[in-house]
Amino acid sequence: MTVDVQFDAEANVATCGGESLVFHCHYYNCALHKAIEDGMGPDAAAVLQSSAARVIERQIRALSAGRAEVEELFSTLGFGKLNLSSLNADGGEAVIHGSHYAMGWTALHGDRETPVCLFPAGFIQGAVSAMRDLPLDRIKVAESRCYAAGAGDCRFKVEVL
Amino acid sequence: MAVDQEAVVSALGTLPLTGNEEGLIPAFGLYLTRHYAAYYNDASYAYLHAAHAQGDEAVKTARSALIEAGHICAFNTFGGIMVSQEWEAVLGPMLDSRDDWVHGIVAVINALGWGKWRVDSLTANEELRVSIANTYESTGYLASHGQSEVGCVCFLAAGGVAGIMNLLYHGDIMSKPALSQAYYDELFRGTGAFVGEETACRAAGAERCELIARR
Repeated sequence: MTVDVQFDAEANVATCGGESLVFHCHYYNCALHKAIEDGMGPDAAAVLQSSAARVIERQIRALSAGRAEVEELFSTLGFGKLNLSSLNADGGEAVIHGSHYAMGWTALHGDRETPVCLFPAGFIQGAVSAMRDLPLDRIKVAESRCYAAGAGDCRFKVEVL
Repeated sequence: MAVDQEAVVSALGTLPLTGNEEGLIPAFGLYLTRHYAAYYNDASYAYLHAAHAQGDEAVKTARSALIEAGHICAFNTFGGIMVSQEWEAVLGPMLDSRDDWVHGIVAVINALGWGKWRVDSLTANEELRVSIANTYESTGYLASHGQSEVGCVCFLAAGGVAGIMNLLYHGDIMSKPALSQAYYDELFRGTGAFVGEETACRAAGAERCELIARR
């Protein structure tokens, strides 16, 4: 699959799978993430992950995308290299090499104690939910190690409940 | 020579702004993403609504933090684009004056998928008025929450218009300065900085979102 982004030159709006796509850089992505973490404290993680999961689930369902297409979409949009190949019916481990969020955070703020890849975790949750045709709350995704917290790559434990 | 908006949008559409073999989009001295408007909106408005449940001081803090993210975006993204070779190649021949740079960066913004921006008026070194037919922020708010009861919601756009004026009339992006933290602090935190304000918002019932940047 080649990721097909449609640009409406009259409205200056880009869409893919029914979702509006906008260009933003790592400065803004990390700044918004930090603003919400600073402002919402312990509630922020669920907000950031679930916000990602909802939009990705809708999009992957609309695209009827499988694993290879999901991985291609993730990298085409600039989020890093996602590998879902070790997932099975019960879940497993997803891996991201060169996570945009983790590398961006480290470049701007240095290492942190907790994982930062909440958007990617939500992306994986939404994608697995759509691919398995299960509701979002049946898919649990948690980042177990993160480049921004000193690991070599970013790994996510995926559970199908 | 006037900035040809359509030519700019068309030229930028030909740039290879998709993930490379590492799944990253390095461009203009940045790492870009082609991200989800709904993600930004859902997360930002969850924060805004949570603040409204806590009271006026929390609302003020949340609005300020969300606009500050817009400042950071404008400084680094607009700034990075305006010092790039691509800017010089595509926009350079159309730019005769500092005011032209304002129209030039608005033309570039119109290629980012953020909706249709229009410069309504520009008074050099004093005031910029921009209106937007369809900010992704107001569009997303209306789709998820209906008409806003919490006022204007285009925080990125508010930070963006301030950023344009700070880069061009408070600082001097035309001289291609280093986009350092110290320069950011000088442009956005020092005295005399431009501040963006949304005076009308589609999410709150207006026909277009209207923004003003002034000192």
